[in-house]
Amino acid sequence: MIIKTRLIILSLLFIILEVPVWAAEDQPAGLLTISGYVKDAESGESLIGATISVRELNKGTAANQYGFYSVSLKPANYILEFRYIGYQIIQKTINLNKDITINIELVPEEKKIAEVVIMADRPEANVKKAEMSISKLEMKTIKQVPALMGEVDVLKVIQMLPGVQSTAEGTSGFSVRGGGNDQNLILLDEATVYNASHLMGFFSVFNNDAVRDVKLYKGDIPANYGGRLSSVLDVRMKEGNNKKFAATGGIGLISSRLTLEGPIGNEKTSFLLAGRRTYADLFFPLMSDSSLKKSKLYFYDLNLKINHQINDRNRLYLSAYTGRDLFGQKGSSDAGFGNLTGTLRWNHLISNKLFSNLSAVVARYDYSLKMKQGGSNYVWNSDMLDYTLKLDFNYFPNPQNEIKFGISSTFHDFNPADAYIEGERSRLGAAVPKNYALEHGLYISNEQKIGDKLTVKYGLRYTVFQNIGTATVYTFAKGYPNYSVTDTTYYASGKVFHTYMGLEPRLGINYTFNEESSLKASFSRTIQNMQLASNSSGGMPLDVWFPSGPNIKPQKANQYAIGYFRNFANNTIETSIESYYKQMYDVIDFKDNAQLLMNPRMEGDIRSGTAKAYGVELFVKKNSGRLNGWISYTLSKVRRTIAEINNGNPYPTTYDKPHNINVIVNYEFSNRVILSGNWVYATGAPITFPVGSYVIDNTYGKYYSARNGYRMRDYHRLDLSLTLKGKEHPGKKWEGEWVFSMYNAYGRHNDWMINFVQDSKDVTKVVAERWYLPFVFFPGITYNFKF
Amino acid sequence: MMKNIKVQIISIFILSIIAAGCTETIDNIQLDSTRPRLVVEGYISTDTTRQMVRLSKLGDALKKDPVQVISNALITISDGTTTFGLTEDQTRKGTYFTSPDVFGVAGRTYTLLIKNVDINNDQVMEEYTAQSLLKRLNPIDSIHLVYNTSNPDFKSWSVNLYSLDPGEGRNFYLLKVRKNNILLTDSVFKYSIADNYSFEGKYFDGFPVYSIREDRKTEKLTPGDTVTLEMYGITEDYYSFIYSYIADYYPKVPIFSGPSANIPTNIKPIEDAVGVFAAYSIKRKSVIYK
Repeated sequence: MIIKTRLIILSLLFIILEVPVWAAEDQPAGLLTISGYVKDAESGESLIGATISVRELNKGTAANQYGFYSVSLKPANYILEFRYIGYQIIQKTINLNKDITINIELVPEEKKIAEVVIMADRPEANVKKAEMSISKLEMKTIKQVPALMGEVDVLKVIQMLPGVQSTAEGTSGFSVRGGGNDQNLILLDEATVYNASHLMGFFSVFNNDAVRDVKLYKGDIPANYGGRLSSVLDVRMKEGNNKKFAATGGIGLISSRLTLEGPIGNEKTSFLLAGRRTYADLFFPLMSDSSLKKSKLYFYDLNLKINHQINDRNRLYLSAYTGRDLFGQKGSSDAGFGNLTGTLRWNHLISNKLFSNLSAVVARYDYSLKMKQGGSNYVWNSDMLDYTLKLDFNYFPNPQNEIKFGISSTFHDFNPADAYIEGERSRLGAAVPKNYALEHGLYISNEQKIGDKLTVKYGLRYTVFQNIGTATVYTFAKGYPNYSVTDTTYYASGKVFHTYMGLEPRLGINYTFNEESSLKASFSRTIQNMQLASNSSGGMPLDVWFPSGPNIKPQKANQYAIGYFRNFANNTIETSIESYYKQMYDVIDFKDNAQLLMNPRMEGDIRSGTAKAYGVELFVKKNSGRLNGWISYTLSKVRRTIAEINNGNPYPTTYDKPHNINVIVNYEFSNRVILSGNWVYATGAPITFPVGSYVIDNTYGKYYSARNGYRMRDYHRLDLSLTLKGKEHPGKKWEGEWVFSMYNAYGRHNDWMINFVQDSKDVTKVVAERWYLPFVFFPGITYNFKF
Repeated sequence: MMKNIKVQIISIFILSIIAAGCTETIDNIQLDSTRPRLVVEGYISTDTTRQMVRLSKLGDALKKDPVQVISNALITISDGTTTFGLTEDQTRKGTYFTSPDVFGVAGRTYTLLIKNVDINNDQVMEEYTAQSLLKRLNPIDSIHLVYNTSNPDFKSWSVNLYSLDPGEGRNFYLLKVRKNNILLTDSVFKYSIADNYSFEGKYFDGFPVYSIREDRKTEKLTPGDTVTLEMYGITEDYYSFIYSYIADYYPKVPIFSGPSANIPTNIKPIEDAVGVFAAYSIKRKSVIYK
């Protein structure tokens, strides 16, 4: 097996090292190349996914994540069409007799009607593209969706897509096709965001004004992504306007934001700087409550991006993000948590057909808690830090093939818990020892068009995960209720003491019946080596990540999906039906009453087993017209089977909600007035209820049903928003709009949790108590502007 | 020994969420019942006293019906060489005691045996057993009261512990506080627990155990009051039992709480019983508030 694996590695290395060399040479088949970048004429932003069609051949390609495209054709005269939704189409007639570069700037269309809600790159792209199980969101779409307190949020809109479930109301956590919240890879300009939540999940870390492009892969995950089982959420920051200085912002009930962007010197360099801060705590000193007066509770975000075009073949991008939640009480407690990411990218055009990108990425998540007790200051810090180096290539040999390949390597530094008494040299103990890992990925994929109707997308990813010292590894013996430690092994610094390797094949097929309908199928295998120590449904700031290792195997999943895509009314109405089956192996869960925080032997509280999820997703969306929006329905089921949990019987996860309906509707009364609404329905979440009671030392104890043996009431909620835009005048620079929103417009008290507590009227009795969020008929108002 | 701190820090998070939540009582919630099970609460300590075992039957989830005690059981506690019989207290049915001269010895493993119980009324008598090691414990050197004003809502006296951990592997502690011999930590959810992880064989140099709050009538100290700290050396099983019991006592919050689950028990057969049998050493130290 090891020899076989080494052969595969060597083969892939050969491909990686050799392909750039021969790809850079002139093509033997007498093909000539048209290449260039597609950008927004107003801002200079790259238009990711813009399509380039060769009318005579009914063939084309799409711009990559940096707006680069390349198509190689036989010498002849052609008409090229450059398209991007919401932009005017540009046609170019060319006489192709040598390699040529055409950089295109597309001009936004005059807005006559509300924009599409989910963006397609071209009207029939959903039918023609080989990819399936993917959703791409446009920021102006996200901004129209009614939001809690008027604070529109990327992750809250993601939760309204078919196959995606919110893990709990109000939280940013989401489950994709039966996967856990830990199984989503969230990337911001290629840097992993380990905790995407602010304020316990009521907000996400993404500032809409700084975000350009959001893609969610629910299955059929491209081979260039790896590391998580169920989904990839790829968020790309804006590059910054390189044509003119511009500002965008908003003033809301609880937060305000401001984004500045513009050229530096000339059009070759541009910047973007965005900030956001909540300010509810600024009013605390005015409160009568003494504890509130001393309280601190806010978060902030800062995004920075600078890009520089060195020449036609080389570009540099630097992007950075930092955000932090801070709360506590003056004199008694102080806490904070947040992400820090930085990405430096170098785009290099090796030839007109071979595009490369080298990325150096750093990502950090940390929390810090300080508490005064008994005259001492107790401090508890935790952080995890990644350094990644990544090299990706896009090769466009001919219109029939687009090859991607690359390699990446990440160094993970885990510091699960470091606790001590401030001012004292003697530590309370490292709490949980640090550990380290290296994660490598090597991939190659090709999207190949076979004839006019068939497109096949195939790829292979090879991952290697290495635990390295220093490390303390426990050997456990099974027991009830706790596993006991039978041996402890210490590994020296830098020693690779355990390795996991795995192959992840990816396959997608698209058979296009005609311009309006297609049948797609896909298979993907994914492997996840990073594990999250969290057994709450929503995920909390104190959750820590830890590596797979001698005790915990990597999670694996095989997902099969098939879908039929059909457009109507000249592609203005898109419909799809997708069905999936996902089998997961070595998924982890935690023993009953597990102790996950500051537990050095936490691996002894982990139990692993299998899970399977399957479902059907129906999706209908209307792209244009005064009335537009989408409706999605998901029928799904997910069960886990883990020995030692629920007596080894299958049990539903907390995000198993068989029926899920999402409706988003926008109606434009005029160019200035838009009414939007969304309605969410989901089967009640599974929950464990008591079926018996007892008393030990004056304290009520509960005897429980099977895990998640009951369900809460069905969840449903209606949100509304009204957008009023300012009058437009020729030459008017300031554009403003008011957004009035109403969250939970019919005031339903949805079950957030059901607890069993002592009856306040009769303490010998117990009552069931519904907890619901106070956001009932909850208004919001935001003023957005740009100039 | 960080467990206390950890629990308090987490409670800051939880309380901030609870403060944001609204509640309403659910009338007529439909809950299933489960088959009968024996509830056991039994202890043996190094104190020379009447060691106690209490037996009852699992009740309905909402405690609509009064607790059904189990009478006429035959109960013994044995250390392998000596066996102590327990007799039912006729004034407190379901509660069984040894004679008052019984005490446990550190280092010995105690076995609880319960017979003559037919919890499921199938006319077949069942037998239940449990074991617990009585762990050694060093004395408390001293306790100090430290005034704490950091919380704006209440001022308190922190009871701080000074003692040497015995080492010899993992040790687990239960800490209780009395004021004038009245137990302030009189329920499981008020217990304070700790372990010696990263403190193995080291000195607890002023470890804060409990906050005696001035805003609580029963706790507020007046000159002449005696504060007593009781330190119990307990097993990991009993520690897990208390930890889980406390965690389950408080309301669940989706963002923070794991799934509800049964409290682990050391009573066998585990599928037919709940509760705990614990052996432990006890050390005490008092201080007078002046």
